[in-house]
Amino acid sequence: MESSVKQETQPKPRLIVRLGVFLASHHILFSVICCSAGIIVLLLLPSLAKNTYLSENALIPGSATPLFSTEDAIEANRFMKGIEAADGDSIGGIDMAKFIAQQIEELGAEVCYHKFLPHSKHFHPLKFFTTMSNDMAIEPNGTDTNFGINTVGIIRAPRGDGKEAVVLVTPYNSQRVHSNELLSLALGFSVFSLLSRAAWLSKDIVWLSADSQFGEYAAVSAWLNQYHNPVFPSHSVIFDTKIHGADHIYDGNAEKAEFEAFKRAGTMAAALIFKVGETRRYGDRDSVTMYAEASNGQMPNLDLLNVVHYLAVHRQGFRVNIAAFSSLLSSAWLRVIAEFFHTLGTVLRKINPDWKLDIAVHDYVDGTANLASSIYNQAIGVPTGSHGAFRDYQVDAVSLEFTPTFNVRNENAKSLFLLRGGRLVEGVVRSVNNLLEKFHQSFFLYFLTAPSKFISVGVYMIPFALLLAPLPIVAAALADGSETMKKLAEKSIGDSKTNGSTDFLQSKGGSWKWLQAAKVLLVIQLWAVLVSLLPYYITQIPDATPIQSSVIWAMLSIVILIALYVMSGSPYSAGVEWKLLKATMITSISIGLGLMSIINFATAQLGALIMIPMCLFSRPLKARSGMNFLPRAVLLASNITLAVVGFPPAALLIMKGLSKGSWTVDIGEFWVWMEFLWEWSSATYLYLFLVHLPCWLLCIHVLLHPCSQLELKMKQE
Amino acid sequence: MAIRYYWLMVAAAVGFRLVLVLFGGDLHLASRPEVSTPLTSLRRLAEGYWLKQASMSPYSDLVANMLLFIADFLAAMLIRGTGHRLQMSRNRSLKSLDLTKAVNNSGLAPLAAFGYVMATHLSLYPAILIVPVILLLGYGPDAPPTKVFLVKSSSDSKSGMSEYERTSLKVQRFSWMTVLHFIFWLFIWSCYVLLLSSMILKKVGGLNEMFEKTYGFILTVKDLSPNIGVLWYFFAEVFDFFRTFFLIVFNMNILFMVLPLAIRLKHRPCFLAFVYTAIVAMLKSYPSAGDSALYLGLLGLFANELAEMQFTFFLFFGYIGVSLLSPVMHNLWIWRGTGNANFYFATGLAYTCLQTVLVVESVGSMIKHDRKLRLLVTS
Repeated sequence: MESSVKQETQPKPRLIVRLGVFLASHHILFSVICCSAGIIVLLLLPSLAKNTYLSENALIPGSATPLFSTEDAIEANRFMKGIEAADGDSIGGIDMAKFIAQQIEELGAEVCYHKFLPHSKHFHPLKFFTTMSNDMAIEPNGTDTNFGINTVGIIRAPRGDGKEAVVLVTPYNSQRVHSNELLSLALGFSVFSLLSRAAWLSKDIVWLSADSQFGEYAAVSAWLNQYHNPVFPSHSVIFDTKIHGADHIYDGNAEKAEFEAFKRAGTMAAALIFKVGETRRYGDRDSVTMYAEASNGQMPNLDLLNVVHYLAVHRQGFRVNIAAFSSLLSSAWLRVIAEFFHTLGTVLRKINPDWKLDIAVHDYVDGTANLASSIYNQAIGVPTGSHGAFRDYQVDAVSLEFTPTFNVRNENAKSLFLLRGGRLVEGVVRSVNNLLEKFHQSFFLYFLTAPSKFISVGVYMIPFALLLAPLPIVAAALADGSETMKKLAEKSIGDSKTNGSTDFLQSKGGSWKWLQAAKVLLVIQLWAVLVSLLPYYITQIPDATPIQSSVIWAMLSIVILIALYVMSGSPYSAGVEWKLLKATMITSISIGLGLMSIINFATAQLGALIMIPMCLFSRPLKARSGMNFLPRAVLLASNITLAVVGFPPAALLIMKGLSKGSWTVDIGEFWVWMEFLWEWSSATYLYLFLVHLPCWLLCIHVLLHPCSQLELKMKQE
Repeated sequence: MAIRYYWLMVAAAVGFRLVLVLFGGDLHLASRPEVSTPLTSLRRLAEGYWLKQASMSPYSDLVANMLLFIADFLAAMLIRGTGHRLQMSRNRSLKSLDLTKAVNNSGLAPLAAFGYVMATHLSLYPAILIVPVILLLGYGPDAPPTKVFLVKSSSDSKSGMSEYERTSLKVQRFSWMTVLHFIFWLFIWSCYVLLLSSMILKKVGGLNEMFEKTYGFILTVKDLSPNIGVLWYFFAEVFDFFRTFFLIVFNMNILFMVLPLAIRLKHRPCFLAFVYTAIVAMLKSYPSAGDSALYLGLLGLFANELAEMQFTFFLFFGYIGVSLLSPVMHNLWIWRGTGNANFYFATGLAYTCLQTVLVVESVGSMIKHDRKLRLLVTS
């Protein structure tokens, strides 16, 4: 009777269902193929990089003859001497700000000071998500003596409507001034003075000389915060904001009190941060290093980088670099891979001349070093410079660090350098000035493998998608497999019973069996949320060393886990099948990785490389299988290795060991790292604790599963 | 079957809700598109109240429903009560495949009518729930189809049926009195609400404007700010001269499903109500997460009947995935500027697809369940 019921209620499934069933029945082969293809494509990425191109026609970089002349360079030298003198008799760097303001005023531009306090360390991991820019600007009040002063100069565009602005930033440390910082200030000033005379400006120019005594980022982000979140102080607040020691800037000169008022220009179209770094002896040409990674892997529009690169290389003769992992450049195994791909590429080229995969070995190694650094910087989710602060307000920004090859005392070389640097900055401003709309043409999602080569989102998604593809299939196969097994068992029980109908009515639903596994997942996720919030309370403990903090953290996490198990029952007590547990784990990890790939792709990509093998390999250590000794031992060993590698502190230790070669175990280091992540409100912190850690714990649960259920069923059969 | 730690879980849920109320400010829940729609936004309520105080028409901006903490708690308790009653009636009907007794609902008719009128007044869509309410009052709560009882009684009559069962068969018939009672109260309450509304609005606009700005606002999808549904995107994209046509199509879409479902599921009015709420949550103009909370809460009532439902694993994780993905996409579009409206709309589409699968699968498995019952009885 029961079989007749089943026959009637199960019509022929649809094509898509049948396709799914087919894939699920071959899930092992499918996942092996997909994962290996994913890793191969990931290694192929440097050869798949394309040359950059300008997609916004309005930019037309280098179309006008640069106006920046030797006279401007002389002006810069004069400014430099002046500020050196001001620095000599300065108290706390205030005279420098005063000197800059005075010079700006002499140019006829508007000027104002911006005072700010250093950022206090806060635990707000969700900040990137909930409040992007809604913080109220913190104004220094009367009790603070330790504050920074940014000097802001604004040129109103003669041809513009004042609705848009281009921002130039030169950071300098007002407490300890280096000669190269003075050089970058001089460069900034000379460009600003040139632009104050330019008749072609259609966007306002803002020059921010950022006081980087608390770090560049703090200065720039404090200024941006106040720029975008106007405060409307009541009278009492105005009285409070008088600052100790700041009063003597004005020297009783009443009309300069207007410097106090915060001045604004229009919406920012783009920002360029430039500074002159330490002199390096090697290299024949002066070089420029571009930094573009903002928080959580956000990048500025590629067109901005293209403009800078084009002008620097083709007009001013700089060498342009991007950050790279230099250790990879000399790595032997990378060279072997490069040779292999080169041979493979030449063979493929012979088959079809359109397949241009035969990248030179040297290019491949360089590209990999750059790409690795690009992925790493995006994955960490911490901006590589003060341009990150701009991206939080959706302003495209890039940092340029000039590395001169001459001695700072060499006046001729310095003038030449100022001339070329000034022309570069002027050219970029000119290009952005030409824009009629926001940057939108080119890419926002890309990796750089060279200053002029990029991998767009359409290409770099492929390895990730290939890695992720087996997960749903395996989950379906596991869920389905356990179901059929259950049906078999049920049938055998049902046959023995005389009253089949009551059995059908009382059975607690085969298709809802995963609810127990989902409950385990829920408890573990709850635990993960609690663990990720713990640092908020731990940071309140005064004077705790990193080691103490991390030990407290670990202890509390274990206590919470045990408490949750006591409250909700042990995960194995309800008799969850390990296959269902694994299916739940795989589904949750595919959701987690999918989400993370949207928030910060690089993190998800790196995470997938560790997590997906860990999830796919995992099976209970006690599980019986029909395998021989050798494959079983290999499976066991890979399970344990992956479980160890998947544990975040262990992964961190291995990463440190590989990069630095030191294998000392320092418990406090993990705390320091995590502190670094949440201070920058990096989403990587959330990923580690809400996706990675629970998945790892579930994996451990699968590994330690007692498997009594399964054995019971096998006996019954 | 008693659930362990029932009151503990209730306390945890209440606590969580309170935490959200107290600390929700940091999460900006009041402005999240998932929770707050033009009809449920507290901010718009505040604005409307302010406009009323300033003796302007409150319907200059839209004011409607407000979800309150206590209301939610009461609703949860009511769903639980309904669950108990359904459980009881199911056990009774299954014990010997006997007949159900119509639960004495007559005392509740005025209350039901009041709830119905208020709900319709507030958001219009519950209007179609009149069908399950009448069926519920007429036939009593969910039971296996009448045919099963007929078959059963015919097979029983061969072997001789007791007098008691013969009489109780009559109870199965549609009880017109209760329904008339309900309709009477429905009439009274609607008149009362309309009267009150017109008195309040006399100075500032009158009933006409109220109809125009509430029901008209709901039906013509005037507010195109993004929400978790799909209509905002569609009507933002559609050419203006097609707008009226598609408005008719989308609104009729809901109405078209009322009659067939009512005929097919007339023996299960509670399940019918669940299906209606799910369909409304899917197709209404300004859906919010609260709508799905309602039908997902009701889903628990049919745990026994839907035990054999397919794709539950997929649905569960689909709901989780979409509910996490949707705010991320919104953030990408609105705050970070690296995404666009299509990203957010895609999650809306996925959400609608999931709901469709849920409705189709649940109705399918309910019908299958009834067929199985019939087969069991006949064999």
